[in-house]
Amino acid sequence: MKDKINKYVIKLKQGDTSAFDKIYEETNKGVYFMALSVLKDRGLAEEIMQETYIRLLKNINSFDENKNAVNWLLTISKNLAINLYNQKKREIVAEPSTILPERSYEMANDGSLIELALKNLKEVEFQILMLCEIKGYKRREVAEMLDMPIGTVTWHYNQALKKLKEILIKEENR
Amino acid sequence: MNKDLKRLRKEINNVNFDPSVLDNIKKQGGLENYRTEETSRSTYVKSPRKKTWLRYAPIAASLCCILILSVLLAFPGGGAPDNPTLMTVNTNSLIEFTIDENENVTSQRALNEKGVIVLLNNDFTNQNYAKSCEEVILTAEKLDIIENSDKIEIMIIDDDPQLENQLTQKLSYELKTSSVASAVENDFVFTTPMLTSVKNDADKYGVSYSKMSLVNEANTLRNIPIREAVSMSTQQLIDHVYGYSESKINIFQNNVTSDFIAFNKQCSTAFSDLDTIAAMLEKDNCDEADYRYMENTLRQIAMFHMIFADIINIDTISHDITDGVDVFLPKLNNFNHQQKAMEAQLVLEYKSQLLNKMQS
Repeated sequence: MKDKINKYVIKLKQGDTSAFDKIYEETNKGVYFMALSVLKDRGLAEEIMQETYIRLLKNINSFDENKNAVNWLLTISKNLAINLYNQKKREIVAEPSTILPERSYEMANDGSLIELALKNLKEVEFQILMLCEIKGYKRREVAEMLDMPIGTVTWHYNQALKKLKEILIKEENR
Repeated sequence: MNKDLKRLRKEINNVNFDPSVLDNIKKQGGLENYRTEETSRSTYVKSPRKKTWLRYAPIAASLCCILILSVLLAFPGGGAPDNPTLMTVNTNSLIEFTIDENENVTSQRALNEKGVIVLLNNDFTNQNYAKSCEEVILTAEKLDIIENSDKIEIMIIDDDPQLENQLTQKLSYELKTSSVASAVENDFVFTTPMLTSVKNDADKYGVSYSKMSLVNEANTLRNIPIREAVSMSTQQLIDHVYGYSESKINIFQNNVTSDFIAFNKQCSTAFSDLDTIAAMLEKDNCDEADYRYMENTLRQIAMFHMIFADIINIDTISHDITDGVDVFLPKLNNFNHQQKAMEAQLVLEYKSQLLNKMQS
């Protein structure tokens, strides 16, 4: 995964613009779910996803070819999402009637598993679960993407599954 | 949970973004201008429209972690001897089997390093092809070569389309009633999807469907002209498509095998030492030298592999031996009774370590 995306990023850096479509196709969901884990709002997450790729295109020449391109993209997405989240929080202080970003999932709650996971899992658990399930990335690959030890990824992944299972059982018993 | 994971994956797959998002990114990222500039310099080459069958290739690549299990059938009435039947199972390691008219494996060949590791200490000769396939999938699962979310592609190739189809159907049925049945039900194991365009090409060139898929891959991946690829044997095609290098695999296999022999020897020595210690303890007339021997030997065994940590605690070895005979001896005997299962576990862990080394 890392090598594949890195190759595309290098191609893009060298001027092969068709490589961008491949990068986008392969990574858009990861970038989106990374932002969603922070913002818990689909619309805002999509905006961050767009902004992430715009940053990628504008800063392509500064990309260090020895670095993991997916990790680079996910970091941009996460940082942009955190910035937006902080900005929204400041706006709320100024304007108390605005709904807190962390509560906005309730508005989008459509009973889907993604929403359930978003609502109940820790940020990092949600990120790992989503990345593991997008195109079936291996835990080793996710560990590389997030720059984390495989053991930590496996632990969070298992915790996420355990929590989801418990929640689903509770929901069924209701 | 499998059902829920499947639901989650479906939901993730359903997350799609409006095409205008991509256009907007390109526009704001300055890609549109870049492209125009490139085009005007005639260096921008627009990708040719993909042939229909090509749609299948990237899907296969993304769905499977690759373990190719190729079965070369040596049926007297089957495919021509120089172009025998092949079965491919994609999970990340490449293995090739030849099987006889009784559908038993007659030989096995690893086509890449992971295949060598999967086959290490596994001899499928004289075993039913479906059973061998099942065991390969199980081993791959245990070794984490495939994980829950991975999908495995199985493909059978023969010059005789009927035989090819018959064997595929049979394998599919066998796997559905095997220990990997849940994986089959969850679409983790599946046979190559049938595409009309490939079928039409197969009919045009007078080859089977699966061979045509391989021909197409040889053409795409290795730039081998279709006509040339069609005239190749299935084995030649497999070698081309999966970049098989006999010398490379042989070197890896030799290294792994000699290392594994040494590891096996250490395992046997450890188990035999544990037997000896159990026998010594049973006699119950050990002197100080005996206890010292036991302690040293147990320390060595404990250091050899984590699996022995269950019975040997380095910090309490001497206490276990001298004061805890009543507890330690049954534990030791129990461990020795499970030797076969323990050995299998040791082999699996050895393979897992090899894979980790390879990946790092």
